[in-house]
Amino acid sequence: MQSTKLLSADRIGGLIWVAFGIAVVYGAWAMDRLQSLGIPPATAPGVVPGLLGIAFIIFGSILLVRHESGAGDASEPATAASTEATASADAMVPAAHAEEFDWKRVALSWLLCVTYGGVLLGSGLHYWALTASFLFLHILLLDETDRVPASPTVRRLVIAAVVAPAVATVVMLTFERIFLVRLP
Amino acid sequence: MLDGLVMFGNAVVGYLNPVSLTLAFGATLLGVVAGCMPGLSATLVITLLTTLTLKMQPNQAILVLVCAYNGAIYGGSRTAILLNIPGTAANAAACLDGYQLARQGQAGRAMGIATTGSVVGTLFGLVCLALFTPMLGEVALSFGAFEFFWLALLGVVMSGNVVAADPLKGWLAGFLGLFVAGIGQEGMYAYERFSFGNADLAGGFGLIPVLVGAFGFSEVLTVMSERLARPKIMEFGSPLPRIMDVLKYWRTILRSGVIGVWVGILPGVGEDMAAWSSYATAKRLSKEPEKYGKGSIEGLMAAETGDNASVPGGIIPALALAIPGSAPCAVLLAAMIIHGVQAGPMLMVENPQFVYDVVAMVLFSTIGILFFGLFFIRPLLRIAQVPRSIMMPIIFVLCVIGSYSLSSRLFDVYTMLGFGTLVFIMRRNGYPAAPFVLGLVLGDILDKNLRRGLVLSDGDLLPFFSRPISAVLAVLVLWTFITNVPIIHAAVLRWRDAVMARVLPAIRRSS
Repeated sequence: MQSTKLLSADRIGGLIWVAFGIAVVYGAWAMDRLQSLGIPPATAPGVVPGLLGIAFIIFGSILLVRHESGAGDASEPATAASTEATASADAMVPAAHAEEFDWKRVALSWLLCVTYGGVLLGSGLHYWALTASFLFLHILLLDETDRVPASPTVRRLVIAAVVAPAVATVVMLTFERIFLVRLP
Repeated sequence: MLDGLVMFGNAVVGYLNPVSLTLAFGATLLGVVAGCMPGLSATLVITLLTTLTLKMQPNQAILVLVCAYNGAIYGGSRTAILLNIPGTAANAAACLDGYQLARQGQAGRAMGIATTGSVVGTLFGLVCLALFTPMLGEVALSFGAFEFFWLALLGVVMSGNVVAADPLKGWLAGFLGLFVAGIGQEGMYAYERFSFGNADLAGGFGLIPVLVGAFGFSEVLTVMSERLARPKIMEFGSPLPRIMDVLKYWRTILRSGVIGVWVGILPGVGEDMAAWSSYATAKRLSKEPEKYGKGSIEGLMAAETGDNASVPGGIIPALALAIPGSAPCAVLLAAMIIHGVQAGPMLMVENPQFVYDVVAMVLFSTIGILFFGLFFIRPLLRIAQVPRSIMMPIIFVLCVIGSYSLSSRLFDVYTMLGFGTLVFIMRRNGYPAAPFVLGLVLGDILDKNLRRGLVLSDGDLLPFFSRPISAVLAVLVLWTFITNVPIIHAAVLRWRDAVMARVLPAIRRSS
């Protein structure tokens, strides 16, 4: 099941790599070759990106073709050394590690992080208040043993209420007073 | 040789002051604590510490980073043994026998073995670091643009090949790193590539914000994507190592040390592969292979010796060639560049003392590991039990402020967020982060040296293949690619099995 999902992702991945490679090659080709400065064509700025673009197209195509032909085994290890190592790793992954992927948890965590770091930071809100609010919400809404949204408990509320302002204060003072950073 | 010893002595004496000792042991303890915490990788610790040590003196900043690096690789063995959760990827091999020993009531003994293995492995690697870095540096003095181009390419290709379960994806990740490194003003003619008129992009992506995103933010998302029951610590006895365990398995220790250093030297391969390779080799050559996975002292010793030996091993090419041996070394190299230390062949000519300073740093961290490993077990494990749902948002706050503090611009925070998200998605789809980072660090070297080589040869490609060292490196790159063609790969495996079937019985008899 996992392998089928990965193969399907490989198909999309292959297409993305090929499209990206074509865009990179086009960008490299269209780049100024600085001939007016008497620079040899082989050392033009677009040479390396162009070669990388070709590599993206070739490897992306292999990914795609391998998927289409069904020949690819996404988990097939490469070298003798890695065969043994990967086999050992796969065979013996501890039970405690077999965790299920929960996309809701990722989505919520990502949303909180991006809202804090990408949207609100630098928008005029005070750094301490913003950081403390982010930490409070993240700790409150995401517990590692719980499903999303985490069931609110007094204990978690207290932990979040204590940890969030304390960490925000320490981080702010450390960077502002010791590292002399002008906070956003 | 004598000069080296004198410089090493000077380095040790130079660090024998309260500030340096506090920094060394404090950073080692921080590394061990972080290593204990599942979800905090050694690379993440060094990346975050790089942003925190920017204002420090270069030697003190590097001291902190090296000690934290070594401590983190060791620290993961605690939780691997007691909780069956490797603190870092490098300690996954230690779970196999360490946890089994703990279940048999021998957790203290297992931790003693892990500590001994880590200390002996690091000391072995340290000797190799002191001996081989100057040698490699001397050889590298004869390297020209052609050789450095191939070395950079080999680093990315080899990392992609070994780190990824699917080499094709490893290479794509590595090439993406090379591409990202090329965005902004290039090094030869200051031409702006793929900046689209954006002033921030014209300066290129900062190495540290990208690294913080790749190993910090993506790690936060990875950890938050999983639900995990909070583990309970089981009881353990004395962690003091037994001399007999060390003496009985001296061959395994020595062999694992050699493997660890060698894997460390290989560009971009890393500590986890060193641990697995040492473990697999020890099992193959063991007189008691049936005990592996059921609580083998030898297996645990091999894994822990291998991963810690690869730490100094990975620093060797980083110092001598400016080609990092692993992802944490790539960050270390980036930190050196930020602090004005120019690693590479000229380091032994211009600043040979620095190499021995690093050797002394590794020595201090090893002493720290021995101390904290034997006497600080219980408090360390209490810290390791801090819920990750509390730890991860704090890590993210540090990722944000660490990226911002580099040059006080929000673009670096957006860079961190963007690359963190990208690497998270890539990792979910089987594209490893290590080759991407290697590509990022080596991108400039590859770009400049390819074009410099073409200038020197007047556009002729022949010198890239006709010079002896270039030819060897080119063959290695080509070999890495072609051995992944299914038919050739199968033939190589058949050949390896045939050779092993002949050689192994003889080796087992002799040991």
